Amino acid sequence: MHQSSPSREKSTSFRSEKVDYLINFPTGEMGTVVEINTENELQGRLMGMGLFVGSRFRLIQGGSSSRKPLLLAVGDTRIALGSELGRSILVEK
Amino acid sequence: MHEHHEILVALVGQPNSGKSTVFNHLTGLNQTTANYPGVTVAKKSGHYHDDKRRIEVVDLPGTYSLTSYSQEERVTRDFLLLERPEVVVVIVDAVSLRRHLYLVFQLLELQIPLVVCLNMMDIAERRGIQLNLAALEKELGVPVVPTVGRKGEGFEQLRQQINKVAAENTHAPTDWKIDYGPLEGILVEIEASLAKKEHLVEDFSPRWLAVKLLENDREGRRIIQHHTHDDDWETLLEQAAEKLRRYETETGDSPRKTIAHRRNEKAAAIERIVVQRGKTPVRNSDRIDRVACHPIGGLLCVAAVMLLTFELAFNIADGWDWVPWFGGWTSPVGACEWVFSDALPPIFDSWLRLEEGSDLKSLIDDGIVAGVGGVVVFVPVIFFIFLFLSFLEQSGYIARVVVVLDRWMRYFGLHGQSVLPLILGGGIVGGCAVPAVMATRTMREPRERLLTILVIPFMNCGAKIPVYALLISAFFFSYKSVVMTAIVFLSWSLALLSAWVLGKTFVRGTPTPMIIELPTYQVPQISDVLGTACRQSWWFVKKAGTIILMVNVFLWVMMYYPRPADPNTDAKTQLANSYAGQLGHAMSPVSQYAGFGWRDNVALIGGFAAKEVIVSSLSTIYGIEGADEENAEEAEEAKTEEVVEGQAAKAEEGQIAEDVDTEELDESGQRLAVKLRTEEGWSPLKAFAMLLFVMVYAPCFPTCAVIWKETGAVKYMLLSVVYSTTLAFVLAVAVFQIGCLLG
Repeated sequence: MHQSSPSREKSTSFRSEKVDYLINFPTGEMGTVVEINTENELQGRLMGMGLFVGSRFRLIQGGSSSRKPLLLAVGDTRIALGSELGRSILVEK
Repeated sequence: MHEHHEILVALVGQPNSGKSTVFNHLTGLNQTTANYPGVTVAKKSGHYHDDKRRIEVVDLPGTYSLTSYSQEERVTRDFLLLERPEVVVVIVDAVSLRRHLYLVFQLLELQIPLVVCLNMMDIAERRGIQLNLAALEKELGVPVVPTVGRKGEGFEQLRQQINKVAAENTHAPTDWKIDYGPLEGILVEIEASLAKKEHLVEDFSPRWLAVKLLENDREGRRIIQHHTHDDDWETLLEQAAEKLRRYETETGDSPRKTIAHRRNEKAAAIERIVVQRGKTPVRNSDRIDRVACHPIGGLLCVAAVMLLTFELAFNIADGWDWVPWFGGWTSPVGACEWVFSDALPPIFDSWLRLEEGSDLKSLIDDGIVAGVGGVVVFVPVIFFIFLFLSFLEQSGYIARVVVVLDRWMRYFGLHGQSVLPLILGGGIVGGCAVPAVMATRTMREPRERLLTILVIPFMNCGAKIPVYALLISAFFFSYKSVVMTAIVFLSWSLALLSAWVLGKTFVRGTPTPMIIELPTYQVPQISDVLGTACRQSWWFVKKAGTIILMVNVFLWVMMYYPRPADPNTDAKTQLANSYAGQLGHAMSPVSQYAGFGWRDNVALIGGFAAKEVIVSSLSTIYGIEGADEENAEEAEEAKTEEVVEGQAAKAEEGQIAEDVDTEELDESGQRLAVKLRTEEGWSPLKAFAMLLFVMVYAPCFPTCAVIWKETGAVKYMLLSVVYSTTLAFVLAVAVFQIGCLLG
């Protein structure tokens, strides 16, 4: 089972893997949030759910350029996002 | 407003933290929900007693943070800051401590007397998560109480801790703070200038406000603007903005990001100290979601769950025999019916010594007892529907419904968040438009919110169900669940199409995306589910007892007066000449295109006051006539023609009554159903037109009032009334006319 270890979060800045939008991220893989480009208040809500820059997540459903809703596992939390948000969140493996 | 309390306690927490379970355990049945105050979000409050004091508990709406600007979050923050509860209890999910700390930090920065209730300890344990509570208390500087909401463990301790914090009664600032690193210099400067404003500092922590300003928070600026009595708030804000700009150009980073980053680090640091994790097993929840959230499988699940809910709710309440050997009233519905139609009238008659044929007897028997009874009879159905609905809600499934439907809602200008208010308004079946319209307050985007509000009345609220049940029993009995499912899909289609149409015409703007948490599936607590069902049913009964009774008595007056000058006038003529008859007649030249006669018009007019009224006034209107005919038959044995006719009608009724499954409806429900089947002018076609009309036409008075309050504009209330009534009439006419043409 993929384990998200939150303590590993903050070594993000210079990674060799390519950064891409969440919508293009491969389904089933683990990744790290690099940037969230949404309004302030949406960010507040995302952070309350545990999704912020540096969070480790696993993409359960959606991504791979599909239009399905995005299902993310962030620690013990499961979050569903509208697929259009996949174009506002930058992630890397 | 809290003159009776001795200690005021506020519960705060994220959605799905088990907050309402904690609330239920603390207060038991002593709860009240403010119905629709209009000014503020509906808040649940309750109380309990310790040795000497009364402790008032307010359950604030679930909120992920205090930074964003949804109404719920603002209400929560305003309550905490302005009502000044003696103790604030924040409910934290022990399983995901870290993300809940995000909210805890914001509460700590508000400098309010806080108790952390670490809930769901049992699930944490099961997942191999160990928490060092002493370390957590030390890190946060506030008491931490472990609880298991589902089993009711830890609440004695929580009560003690509440008392302890209340006794200390400190609003004094603690020295707990997050180190914001490079921002600290600016923070201290802004804090110092804010601290000079006395009025401001009375109510708000200057450090919290300073952080708000650095986060560029609109609400923070608003607070400073409204709470500084002199005019130099502008300079204050300008200075802060200047410092912000300088920081941004110097570091190339926005303060907001730095703040968020520092909070995350702090939360991560605390987690490292406090939490020990074992191996995470693959969760059953995820396995279920592979199907339940799947774009196609999920849709099938939603449909299946809906159908199952109807079948079970209807059959348990009204279909299956509970006590098969006990004759007449075997189902809960049958029991209610028996009480109101057979048991109560003779009791009232003999107790009040009512004279046969007097105005008072008619008022009590036909107006009050029959009217209330006709509504109370449906309480079992409503009870069981809410039982299943709250079961689904607590199991966590409703969130999956939102996920599956979101993509499709989007095509119509709505989004995932619209689904919940629509479900509350009766999107599955049963519910109420009033709380549903209020529930749209969580939607920050005015456009989607307005669209959702405008289409909520098309949903099948609890009050429309009795009408459907009546018409289905009378005309579509064999296809009961098929017709109910068709009704649900039809009302969704109409709502969605209307949202699309209204979105292109009256309401404009750009959409906001869906963000929703999928709670772990869990077996719902029976007590919670039962409690919700009871509260909803009780609410329905209360409404039946007040508004509906009033409307019913009013309708009785409309139908009973003016009394004919000649006492021998027969009932038909009397009713036709009554006020209601006159109004119904006046409308019939128009309504006849939909197949509605004047008596149906009377019931539908009543339904504008409250949809519950439709059934009871139908039974009163058709009942009054029937009862008087029977009396006439008994009194006058002459007039052979009439007697023969009456007997023929009775024989026919008897046969149809046998056709109608006797298990399904109680005696008087059956009588009304049979009455409609035999009544001239009633046909399955007309019943279907009536179903459609009732589904769509004008929202009831209370809903109108709430729409007005929530949108802040009479025009949207009028838009709702005019649009829905027009649509309803067009649909009913179309169905009836096309049906007639096709035979």
